[in-house]
Amino acid sequence: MSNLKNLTAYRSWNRKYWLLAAALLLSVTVIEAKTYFIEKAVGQYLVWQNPGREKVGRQWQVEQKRLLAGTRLEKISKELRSREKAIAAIPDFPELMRQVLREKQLVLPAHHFIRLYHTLPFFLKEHVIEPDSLIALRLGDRLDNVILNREAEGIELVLLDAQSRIENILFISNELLQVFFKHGTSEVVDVTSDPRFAGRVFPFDRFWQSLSRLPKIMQNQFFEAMPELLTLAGPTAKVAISNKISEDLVEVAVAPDNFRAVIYYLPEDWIINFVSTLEYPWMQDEAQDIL
Amino acid sequence: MKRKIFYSIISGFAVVLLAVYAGFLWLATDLPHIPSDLRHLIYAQPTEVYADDGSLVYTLGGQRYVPLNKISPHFQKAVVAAEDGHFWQHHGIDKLAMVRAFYRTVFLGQTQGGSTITQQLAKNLFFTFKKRFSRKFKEILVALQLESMFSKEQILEAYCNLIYFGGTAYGIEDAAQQFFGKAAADLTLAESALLAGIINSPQALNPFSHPEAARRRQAVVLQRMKRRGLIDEATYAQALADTLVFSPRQRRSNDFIDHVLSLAIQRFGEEAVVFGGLKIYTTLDPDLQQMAEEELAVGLARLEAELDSTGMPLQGAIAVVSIPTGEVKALVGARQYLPGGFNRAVSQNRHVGSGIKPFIYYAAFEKLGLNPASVVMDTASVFYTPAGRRWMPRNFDRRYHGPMIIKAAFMQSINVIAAQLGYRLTPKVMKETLRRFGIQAPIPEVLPLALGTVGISPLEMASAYGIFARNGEYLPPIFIKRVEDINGIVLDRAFIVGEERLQPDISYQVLDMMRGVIEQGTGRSVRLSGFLAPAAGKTGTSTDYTDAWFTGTTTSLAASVWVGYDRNFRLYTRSGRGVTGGYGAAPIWANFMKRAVERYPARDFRKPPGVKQIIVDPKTGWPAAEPSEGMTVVVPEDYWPALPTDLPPRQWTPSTDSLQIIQNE
Repeated sequence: MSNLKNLTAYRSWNRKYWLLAAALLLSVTVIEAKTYFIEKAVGQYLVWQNPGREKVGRQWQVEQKRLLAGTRLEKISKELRSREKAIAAIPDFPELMRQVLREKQLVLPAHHFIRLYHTLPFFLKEHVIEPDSLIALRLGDRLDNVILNREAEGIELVLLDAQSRIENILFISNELLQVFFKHGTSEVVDVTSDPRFAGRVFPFDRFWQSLSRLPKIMQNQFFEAMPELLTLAGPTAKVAISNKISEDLVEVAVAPDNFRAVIYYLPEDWIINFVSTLEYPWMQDEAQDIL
Repeated sequence: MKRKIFYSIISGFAVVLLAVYAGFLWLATDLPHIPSDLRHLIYAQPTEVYADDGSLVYTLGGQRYVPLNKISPHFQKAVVAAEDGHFWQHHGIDKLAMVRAFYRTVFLGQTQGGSTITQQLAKNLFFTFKKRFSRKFKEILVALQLESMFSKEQILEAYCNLIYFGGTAYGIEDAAQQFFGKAAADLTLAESALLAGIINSPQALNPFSHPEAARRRQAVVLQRMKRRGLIDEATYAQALADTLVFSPRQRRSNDFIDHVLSLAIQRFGEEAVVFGGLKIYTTLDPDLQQMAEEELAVGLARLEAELDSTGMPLQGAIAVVSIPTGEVKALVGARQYLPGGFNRAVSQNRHVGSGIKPFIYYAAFEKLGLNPASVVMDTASVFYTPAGRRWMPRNFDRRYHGPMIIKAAFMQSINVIAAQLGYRLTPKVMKETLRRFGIQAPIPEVLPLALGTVGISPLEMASAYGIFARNGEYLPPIFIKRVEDINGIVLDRAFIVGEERLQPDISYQVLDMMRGVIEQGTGRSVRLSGFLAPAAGKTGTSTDYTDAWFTGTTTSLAASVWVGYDRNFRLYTRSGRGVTGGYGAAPIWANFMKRAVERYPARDFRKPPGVKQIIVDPKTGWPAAEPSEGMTVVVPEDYWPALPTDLPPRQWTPSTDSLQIIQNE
């Protein structure tokens, strides 16, 4: 009897708990169906965990590659900028030529090229390109870049338009390059004994007298072309004309003493004009001969 | 007893809960970090490839991003109806759909996706496409997190911008532009339903390759929209009846673009090209490219119909180069383009046969002092190489023609004469000459080089022939004009700088002989095909008819066509006739050029100073008695042909003139 009682009580207890569990499960299901509280709880937990998690997965890998790409392109762009800076820092045309000789090839935006072109004395400019040709190119918007190529016989300048088409090809021979490099530089030389100046060395006062016979405008050209003429003028100073003519340019030395001289290259016709002012006809003839 | 059972149940529950929690923790440990702004992770400036006319022809690696208000509401509704009907209700997962999918997968063996839009977004953002349960659970967890972090609108916006539509279309803006040539905001209901339908299977439902399947899927999407009350019956019927107007020009890759990208990768690295958002301005002429693709396909199909079946598809390649600039305007590397496939126009070096002769004759004129009117003897010749090897070249027609002027020998592509010239030049000089023409392929220093036993790509051939049209000026082939970075800074640019590599007068003499090839020589089929503009060219056929070439030039374009099999099968017609360059490749060249000259006019070639035109007897080189009997040749200005003697020229017959034995000195 007692066992039977126990069994009934157990069944009742069992049913009660199962019903309770089922009711609990049902209410959880209903609430979940209405509110999605489990998903939300899990979601919120994951959001809470989010800051500490690593950037892994497909799109993060792409992001990583994007970063790498950006770094690489930034590096290239930085190199280009530093190259542009280096080009912008080139002080004058001869230095540009030296750079081309070192680097084999250089590409210059037109405005940089023109800036450096203007650093040349006006009588040397036309040996690169006539200023009016350059103006014509600029006016027609036909000059965008200049490529400078080092070659065995000199430097080739390729003028390109915005579509990278060739507008003109210029050439600066090695001989002319030497003129650019040496013009206005000081050289250790005794003009009185150097054979290339033999017979054409003028004491400064005589040179000055002859020069003053030229029209004022021509005198100014000499002063402008040879700025050291005024600096080095003195009782021991001499001006010597060389027998070397490169590309219609005559080498002229302004020597403060017998140890050094500043070398210039002047147009041949200027020297002819100067020679015509010399006092003695034989000197004129001799001077003409060397030209 | 009661207690025992109770504790057992409680313990069981606890174990299950603990197991679920442990599993959850394990999966949650290596979940990805999710950014606070999904746009940051999705948007990427694509690398864009532009044609020479400024049109955008290809994009790579990028992902456009448009806000939800710039996406057509039709599409928003359609995509929800097609992919996730309960999107606006659930919190990341659709439990019923998951149970259904699980049941069907496990018990019925059917594959059915139960993924919500949020789950798909999670998958596309962070996971691979490998089917694993662990991946699926992680995807669910990320979806739950996404739902907790972002609004439904933000999730839908990210999804629309990330999802793949096939081809190169990632995201709705890209898809709308590529398929319909319009912005995502302007999509109609019918267009929206079609695009929303594609997502399910972008390849199989592509409206270009599978239009019927795409329309069926569109109908399904519209049906779902109607069932969910998103559209009414009349709108549904109207959308079904709407005619879809697809964008005429699809941005798709071709061999030209593949090559451009490989060049850019060489220069900047793969990451920079794919993910750097570069702007690559190329020399491509899309119209010319299309013409080349079409004419090659038509020409190969025509030829294949006449050939003995080999079981392999007949292949071909075309390269087209601009004469004034050296820019490559079109490139076809296969009969049918395959992304990343073998590019025969650039990478393949096949024997060029007689196509090499213009270079050899140029060298002979320059080094040996010959000219097109010089008389040579076509007779059986045996050559002994320094190694003592015997070589006896034969002519195509297996006959010898006796004395003839060089132009006639060139036009008839006489092998014996080319071999004689090659012998006199030496293999070393021939190789040096080919290098002057810009040919970079490996060149063996052997005597048969004179007959084209060297592999050269169609691109190099076209570029090299272009030098003749420029009277000796070499321009390197250019594909990329300019590359800009994301900020518009020019990273690289090409400069067109020519180099005088040949003597203009000699170059023009060879060019004139090449004109003769088209007018009366082995390339007559060019004229027979109806191409009548001024042009010069040369056929090429390799030993045993494995390769057929025609390379030719006008004043505007140089093009080279190669035809052959990948496995070096011989090209024989069913009647047993070998396919020559004149028969197999020249008609393709001519048909392409007929269309190309409408855009790139062909004028008369410019005659340089130092040459003149005379008419001579093609056998004797003497001034022709009657102009109609003579052959017009271009010779150096100071050249005077020998005057006829009183005696008539000796009659030459193969039987009386003995074999020439030419020993290496």
